[in-house]
Amino acid sequence: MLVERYQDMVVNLAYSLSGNIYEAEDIAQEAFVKAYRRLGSFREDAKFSTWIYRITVNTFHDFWRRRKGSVPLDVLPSLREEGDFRDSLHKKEIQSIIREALNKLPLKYREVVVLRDIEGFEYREISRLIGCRIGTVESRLFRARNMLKKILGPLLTKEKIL
Amino acid sequence: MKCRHFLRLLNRYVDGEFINEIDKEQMERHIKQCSACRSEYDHFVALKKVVSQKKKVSVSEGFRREVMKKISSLEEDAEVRVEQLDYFARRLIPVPLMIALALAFFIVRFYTQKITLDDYYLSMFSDKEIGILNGTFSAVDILGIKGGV
Repeated sequence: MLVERYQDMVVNLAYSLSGNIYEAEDIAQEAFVKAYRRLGSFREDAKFSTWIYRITVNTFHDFWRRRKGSVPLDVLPSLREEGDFRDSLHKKEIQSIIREALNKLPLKYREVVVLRDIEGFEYREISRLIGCRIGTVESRLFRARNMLKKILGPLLTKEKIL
Repeated sequence: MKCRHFLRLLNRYVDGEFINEIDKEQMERHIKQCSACRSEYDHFVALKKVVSQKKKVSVSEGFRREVMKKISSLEEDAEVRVEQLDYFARRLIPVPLMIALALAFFIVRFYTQKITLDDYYLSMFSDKEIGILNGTFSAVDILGIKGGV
């Protein structure tokens, strides 16, 4: 069953982009419905995961435009974040800071960071997912990382990551 | 290697993408020689590490059910549209069909009577008798011209 197989992937991508778990599930549901409608256009030589990811990214864009760019951000870490319940408050705080930092990025920068650093896609795959050249992916990633450096710089020092 | 070139390749180097061995060696040498660029490199690596630690979320239990409900309602809507189309098709298609048959009947009848449009126009200026409908009238009778042309 395709929904069962890809639901985790799709919901997590939507969550990484939107920062709100409830909105993420709405976006993911819409993405699956769109995929069902367009099954006829799916080329069997392509990867289904890439195809559904692309639909999810486009669905998020539509959602973002409808909401005029404002999505209520989860203030607290989502209760559904996986991990040991013994994770310290400290770790949860860090997660919250990361989530806030990502949401401060303009959408076009946020999506490349999410697709590269969280979802692990290569530049070529990212360029196909968001429909732009590889050079554009690189330059957006560079700008995104510079912005994150300013936002997360103190955290990196505090946590002795730097 | 200049700092500008280093910064241009920094993303690729950190992500392990599209970088040839020569550039890679030059990047590594530059990191050892330039403290500013080394700081940029360290920041990028640290950011990648921190951002990639973002936790995954679990999907709610009713998610799949909600998706299937939405897909089922799509299918129901499609069935309703087909039924509506069928309703109109059953009622409207016979009408143009009847009109086409009637037209065909009159065209065939017109030609089998061997009356052409030219004949009709000619009759307007001559005494030639032509049959109109079931009666036979002369152009003189129709136009009321006495004594013929």
